[in-house]
Amino acid sequence: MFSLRPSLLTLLAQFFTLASLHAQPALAPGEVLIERTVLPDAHASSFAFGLPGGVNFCYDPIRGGVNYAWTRGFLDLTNVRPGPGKLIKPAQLLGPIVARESGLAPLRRGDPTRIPVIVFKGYSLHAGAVELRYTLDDTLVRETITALPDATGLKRTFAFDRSGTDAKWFYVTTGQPAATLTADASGAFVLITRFTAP
Amino acid sequence: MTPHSFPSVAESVSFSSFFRPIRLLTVFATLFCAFFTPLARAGYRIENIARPAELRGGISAVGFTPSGTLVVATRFGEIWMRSPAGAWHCFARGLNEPMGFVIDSESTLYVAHRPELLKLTDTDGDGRADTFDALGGQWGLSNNYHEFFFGLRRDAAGNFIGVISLISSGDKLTLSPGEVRGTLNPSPLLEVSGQYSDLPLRGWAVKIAPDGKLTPIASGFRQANGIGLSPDGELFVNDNQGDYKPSCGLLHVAPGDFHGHVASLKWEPGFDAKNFTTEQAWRRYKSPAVVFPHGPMGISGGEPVWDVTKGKFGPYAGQVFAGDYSRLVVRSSLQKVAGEWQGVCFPFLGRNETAPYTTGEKLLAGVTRGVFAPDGSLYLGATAGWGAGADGLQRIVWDGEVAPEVLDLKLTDRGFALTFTRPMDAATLNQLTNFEVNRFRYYYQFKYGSPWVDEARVPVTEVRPAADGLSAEIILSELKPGFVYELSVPALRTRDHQPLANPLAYYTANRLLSGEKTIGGTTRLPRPDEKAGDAKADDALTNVSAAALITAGEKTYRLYCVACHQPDGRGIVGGAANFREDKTRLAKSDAALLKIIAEGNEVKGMPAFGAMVTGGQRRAVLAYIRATFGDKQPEN
Repeated sequence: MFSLRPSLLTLLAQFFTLASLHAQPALAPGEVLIERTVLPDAHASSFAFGLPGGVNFCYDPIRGGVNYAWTRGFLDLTNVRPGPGKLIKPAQLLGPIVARESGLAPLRRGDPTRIPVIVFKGYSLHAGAVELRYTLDDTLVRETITALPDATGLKRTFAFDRSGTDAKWFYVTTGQPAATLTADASGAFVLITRFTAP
Repeated sequence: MTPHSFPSVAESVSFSSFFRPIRLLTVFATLFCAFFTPLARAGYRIENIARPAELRGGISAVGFTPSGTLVVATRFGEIWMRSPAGAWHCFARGLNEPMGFVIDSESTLYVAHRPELLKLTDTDGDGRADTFDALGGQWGLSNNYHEFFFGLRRDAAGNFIGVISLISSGDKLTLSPGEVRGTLNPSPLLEVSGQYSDLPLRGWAVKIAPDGKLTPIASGFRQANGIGLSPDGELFVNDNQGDYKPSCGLLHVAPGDFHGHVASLKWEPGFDAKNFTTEQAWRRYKSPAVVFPHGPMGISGGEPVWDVTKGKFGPYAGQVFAGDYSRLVVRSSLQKVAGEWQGVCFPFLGRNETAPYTTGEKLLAGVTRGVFAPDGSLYLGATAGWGAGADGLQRIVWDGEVAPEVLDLKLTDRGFALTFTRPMDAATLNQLTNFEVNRFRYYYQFKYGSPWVDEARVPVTEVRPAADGLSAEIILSELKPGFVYELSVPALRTRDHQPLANPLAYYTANRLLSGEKTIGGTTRLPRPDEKAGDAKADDALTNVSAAALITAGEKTYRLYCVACHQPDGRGIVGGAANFREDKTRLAKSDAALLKIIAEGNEVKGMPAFGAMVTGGQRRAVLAYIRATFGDKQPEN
């Protein structure tokens, strides 16, 4: 009777485990991929979201912004999964970075030079969209992120509770002048992040 | 070196060399009975629960909804549900190493994961969570691999309770302020140990109100990989052995407690770090209510669950069960003594699975999560996460057979009262020599673990058996608080001449019935001149025969090695070395192997035993391992 030595069985088990880390779960139409783990250039427990169409982005709940976006494949999680050992490394992005954002708390209220206190409050998953919730000082912010058509960028829509609707809002990133956010006809504050060529 | 003082009530008791051979013989007899006697029946069947192929990662939480749906979380951040009809579906993905949950229904649950307490809601009824509300989460957070938020329980007032783990030095990474959540405070407290609390509230138990308000309640935790509430609402935590933690065990947690690991104290309001000493820490230390002695009672304990099945799981109603990473389920019984909880623990499953003690599958290594199902079976979740063990889901089913066991062990004013699951044979029950009692305690120290110290045999002077054979009281020549008492009864037989399935028990006597107690519970501070381990034992291992060395090594193996390397030396798949099949393991020189035993092998998850066993004991255990599992005799 054919038998396998335990060490070989172990190797096979590890192979299939690692193989499964590359595979993405079967998705329903419009379903958003999500992992919360160790990501490059991000604080602990940052999010990797994968929107339909191969648009992926890292949301950093401690920094309070989208650190970067990448296209094509989602994540290789081999380095961060428990099992390979203690010396974990960030997950690998399976595609080129096409947008970056840096600096603390890019959304500012009233004074673009003042860094607000960001407290993460949660998120919701919708078909093709993610809503992130956090307080910015005392104002509750709902930030909805979707992909632009043809995967050319991200559309970020901000909604505020009553304390924020009449305020002036800015978007500030390192090395760039502060941009003023203005409400569109529907009253939504929209920020478009266009991807650059990888 | 910090000056230490020693309370007279906890004075040292030397271990008489006269009793050591008797003790060893008894230990061998106990182990022989435990591992090889084929007569007793445990009456428990171990079943593997099939998981969907898409489920990724080891099981890190297991529970049931009120309507009987099985819910599991995985280390890879998924939540899966299995309906009572057997259909699985994925409820959520993308969590960050969930370690426990509180389940309200098939559409709402609360999850303890690394960054916060998260409420998951399926608002549209499609079976998938779509709304995730973060509660709490005001503790420090980094990318260190060993930062967990253990939980989760909910008290009668609706508050959630969890424990924030320390940070491990195992990844050798330095935290920098720009990469972490919270204020970084890297100043060490006392000696540098393996785990630290450089970020807020690391090492604290916390209460989180439904509105997210967080309140620290107790400190001193290391890696509390198991949290439970008793049916009366008392909080117990199974913290894991390591620095400042001589052994795993059930900690009874009350507001304001300090449970031993000093690192967390830097976040205590008003704490005076500058003038703090190890002795001050020890004097505040609330040691385990029930010690699970490292080795015979596991290595890394898990979630404690109370048998509230009203007899569906056998005769242990009200007792506590906790899985351990070393292929073991521990059974424990609590006793309130002079106003404080303490109690006893027994091996339950995993140390005695030679047929027909149990039937069915082999218990998985890595079973650290448990819950009693509506049908009274015990579901266990296993994770291979820490470099060994196996991922999986099992359940333990009582088949109606009552195995012969010590049902309970309670402290009396002069000894212990034993009850049995089946009537015992009067002749064996009446014999004094059939009851061996030893006691020991531990060092309280910053080093990893502790050897057993101040070991002594405690003569049994009288046995008072009940006429029905279902109970007996043993009277001891002396009863002191501040010790773990080991009871070994391999020679007892039932009336139909069956041996006990598990003839070992460990009672933690923090207090006597009179209220007499010691400082530091079952620990004392090492004296400045003491080296690791028992110096006398080390001397006794010098210039002895090879046979004597092997005999001594067997005891060390049973105490410190058996949990991972297993009684048969075949180890744990994916982790502890398999000495029998993998011949490369023992092909190394004695010097190389002794170095590994002393210093550990971090990559392979082998702990360092230098602080727990002496050089002589290391030589002895290597001699035993070579003689028993290897092809080669020990080198001179």
